[in-house]
Amino acid sequence: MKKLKTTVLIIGGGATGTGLLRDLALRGIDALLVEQKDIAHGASSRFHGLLHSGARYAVKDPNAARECIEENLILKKIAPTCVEETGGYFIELNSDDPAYTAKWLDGCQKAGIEVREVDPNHLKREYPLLTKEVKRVFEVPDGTVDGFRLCWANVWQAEEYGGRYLTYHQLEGFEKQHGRLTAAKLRSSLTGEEVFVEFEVAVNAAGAWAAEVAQLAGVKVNLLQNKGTLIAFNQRIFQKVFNRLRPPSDGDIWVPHHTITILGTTSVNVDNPEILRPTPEEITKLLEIGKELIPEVLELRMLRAFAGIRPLYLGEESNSQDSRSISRDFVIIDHEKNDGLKGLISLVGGKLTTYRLMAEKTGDYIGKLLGIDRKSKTSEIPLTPALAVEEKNRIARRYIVRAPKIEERLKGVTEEKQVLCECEGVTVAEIKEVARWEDTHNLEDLRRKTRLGMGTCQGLNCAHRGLGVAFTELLEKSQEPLEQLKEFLKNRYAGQKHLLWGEQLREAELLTGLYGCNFSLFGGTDDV
Amino acid sequence: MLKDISLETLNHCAKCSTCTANCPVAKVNPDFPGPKAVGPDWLRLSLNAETKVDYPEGIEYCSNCKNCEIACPSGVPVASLNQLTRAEKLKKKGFRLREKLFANPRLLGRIAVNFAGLVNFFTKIKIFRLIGKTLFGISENISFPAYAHKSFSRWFGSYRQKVNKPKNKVVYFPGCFTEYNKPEVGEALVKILNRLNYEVIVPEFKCCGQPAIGNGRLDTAQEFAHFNLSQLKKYVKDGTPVLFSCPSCLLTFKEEYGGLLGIEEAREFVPYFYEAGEFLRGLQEIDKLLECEPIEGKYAYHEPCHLKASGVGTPGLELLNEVAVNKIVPLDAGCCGLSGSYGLKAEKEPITEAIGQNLKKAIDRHAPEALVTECGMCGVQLNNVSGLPVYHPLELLAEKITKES
Ligand SMILES: Cc1cc2nc3c(=O)[nH]c(=O)nc-3n(C[C@H](O)[C@H](O)[C@H](O)COP(=O)(O)OP(=O)(O)OC[C@H]3O[C@@H](n4cnc5c(N)ncnc54)[C@H](O)[C@@H]3O)c2cc1C
Ligand code: SF4
Ligand code: SF4
Repeated sequence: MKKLKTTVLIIGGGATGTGLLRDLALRGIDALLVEQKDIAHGASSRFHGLLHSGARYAVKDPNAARECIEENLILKKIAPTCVEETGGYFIELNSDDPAYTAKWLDGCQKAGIEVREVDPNHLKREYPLLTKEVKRVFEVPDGTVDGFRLCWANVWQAEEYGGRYLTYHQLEGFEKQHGRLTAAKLRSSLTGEEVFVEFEVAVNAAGAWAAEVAQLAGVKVNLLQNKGTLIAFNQRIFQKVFNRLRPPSDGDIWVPHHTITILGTTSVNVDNPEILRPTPEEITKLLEIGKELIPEVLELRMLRAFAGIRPLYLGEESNSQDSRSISRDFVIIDHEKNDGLKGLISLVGGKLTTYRLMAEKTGDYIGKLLGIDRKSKTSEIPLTPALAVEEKNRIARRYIVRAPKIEERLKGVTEEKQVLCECEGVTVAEIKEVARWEDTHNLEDLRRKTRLGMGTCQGLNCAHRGLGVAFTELLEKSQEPLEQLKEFLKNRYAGQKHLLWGEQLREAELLTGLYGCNFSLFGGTDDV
Repeated sequence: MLKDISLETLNHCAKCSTCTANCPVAKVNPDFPGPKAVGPDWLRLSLNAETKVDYPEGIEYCSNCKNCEIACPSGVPVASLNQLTRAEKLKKKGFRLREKLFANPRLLGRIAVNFAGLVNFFTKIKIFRLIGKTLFGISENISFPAYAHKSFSRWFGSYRQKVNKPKNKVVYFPGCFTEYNKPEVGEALVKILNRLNYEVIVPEFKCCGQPAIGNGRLDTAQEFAHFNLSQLKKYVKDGTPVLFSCPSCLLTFKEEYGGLLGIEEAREFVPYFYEAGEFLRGLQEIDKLLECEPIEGKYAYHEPCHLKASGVGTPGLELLNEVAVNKIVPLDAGCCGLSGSYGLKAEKEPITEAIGQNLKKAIDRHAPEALVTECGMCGVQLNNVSGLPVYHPLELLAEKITKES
């Protein structure tokens, strides 16, 4: 059994956990993050990708709106390569209530969100697919955010400041001495190896799994697990975020995310963080609502449907089941105060947009607990270089601190310039280099870092080629290469199977045939 | 947001790469990443600023041969998309005189046909070809199509059609190659049709627009298209069939007007457009004529890409085989590589040559005495690689079936 020691143990490698790792590392506080799967395995990638301007909350939750706009501006400044300053539109349709628009404008003004009215005809001209029912249009400083990239940027910067992380390590239990947690037992989900970590404070940043982690410590965190389903369209339909201007409800938002567009979300309570299956009812509902903005929405090709779980904090006594009325605010729970258990803090709720603020407040709190009085530097020290969204910056934007190695390869070896993943424009150099990294454990990890296989073909052309060009590198990993391929295809199929009609059905058939004939893998359809 | 062609591409492309596997240019030219990369891939990536390049690398190497579109199992208008992108790129970079000249064969044709001897002489002289290359980027080695001494319309104007009882009428679109380079083809068609008691009408036309498309001048192509359609309107309204002897002209009228050039009303004309062989084969009366003196000799047939893309099969070949003593074998060697004015450009010459190797091999294997193909420019290339005479199927047919018995 491996033994490790750390001052702060962070459980969960989503935006919250990685944000905290960065915050602590920049303060010079020793911290180790553990994540059961890969970084951003949970809601931090299974989300909508909207960098809120706060406008969505302007009427109902002025506090959240203010936090959002402040963090929105900070993230644009410190992490320009993880976000895209697309801007967003709020669209009032003829059928919407103009009284709400007035309230909304007022709310935005109070929260300090800049709003500019736009000529609806201009919009109709630019986007002929849009409904003719558009009445008024307002532009707000919404943006988009890449969850994978943001989380990794946090981790990699933390690493430069001494932060440590272990992926594919699941927390299985705690050691308790005199009413205080002192150590954690982890297990590698890849090798089965056990790891024992001594700590002073543990932070439960396990998102939708927070209740389960708390349970391992013998305490309770009252969470409502709320599933949101999203549909990814094959192409970038809009260049800005499109929001409906009405009281927040399902299917309101279209987010352009790199090459695709994501429509969402639904809101359904579930009783387990692993219930990630979008249901036909949810998909039908989203498309029905989507039709209101794009009447011919069914003509647009859809790639995948996926869901994420929002952990909504119910407080101690609340029994509310109406998920949209529960605040999306985050809370820091010190279990010493709540349950008399020392050494454990739980972080729950919140939004990805405000992850940095959440980390800052938690860092302050931990500092106080440990008697280390150092200020958070996360809003000042840039997380990524300031590089515009341009093709020539693609490598530097995507791989951040690790970009130079790839750039070097691209300059050097001609064969490595070749585009391997044609849908997403990923080169051989990227695949080979990322495959080498210690925190890349398989083809799936490679995908999340590079976008390999995230496009139209969903792995048809690129999965086997990716495995081929990086075979030597991937052979070094604990998982067999063919197993890696299998898992890759299985996960690609898992997202597609909810939308198997039209062109995407053909695509899946083609993929099944190709991998069936060549690898006996049937495109991952065999065991789903 | 997205134009029709783009939307269709984004919605339907399966990313199967069949198009690239069937692109003759990608096969021989490593600088051309192929139709998928410059088409559907580029289009999707170009909507995202982080992966957007203004124009896809190598797009100018596309010859609009349409093989990608023929091969695509998803019905993606991939060649059309590539012409749009290429045209935009060329426009941005500024057109050379060469593109302007090649875009409208009538400009040169009208003059050249009056001085055919002289022009044909000069285009064969090394030193002039060298000058052409340095000044205009025109290929030094590929043969230019020779000009005729008398244009088709001049011949037609003075020709008295021999139709006994005028039963039916057809409109004929001769196209620039027949007009200026090989009027024999048009003459053959008129004579055959007359034998079948069809009177031929040839209104005033402009070029079909394919060379303009190939040279990135979509505005010009559009202007031609509108003119030509307006000339056809009254005939089509009466249900008069419109015949083409040139596959590229046919394809342009049938596909490009309504597709790439986005002229909605052109689609209504399509049912009236016929490839000449297609029309003739459909006439019952032709059977009798085919009981003529057989065609002797050993011929091989090249199927032009644009004929393939027109979706009419190979009616010319089938008609010939009804009368040929030796079955005319298809060369089955794919694209000829010349692709209209494409191969006349200096930088494309090696590509044209490399693609042409397949033809050469197939011709060597079959060792025919002469070659047959519908497309004039394919004919130029066939002659280039083999030195053999090349005929349009109509020419061979006419020779037999219009012989006065
Ligand atoms: C459908 C949906 C759409 C959303 N859209 C937006 C949006 O557009 N904009 C926005 O700002 N916010 C959005 N959110 C909210 C946002 O996604 C979350 O607030 C944020 O991602 C939460 O991050 P987290 O780190 O707390 O949780 P997670 O990202 O879920 O991270 C928790 C991590 O803990 C790990 N873990 C769990 N148990 C263990 C264990 N025992 N051992 C080790 N590791 C463990 C998990 O694997 C997981 O990676 C959305 C949420 C959902 C569900
Ligand atoms: S039109 Fe011809 S040359 Fe152009 S991409 Fe298609 S197959 Fe290749
Ligand atoms: S354009 Fe057609 S042939 Fe080419 S990759 Fe797409 S679906 Fe396949």
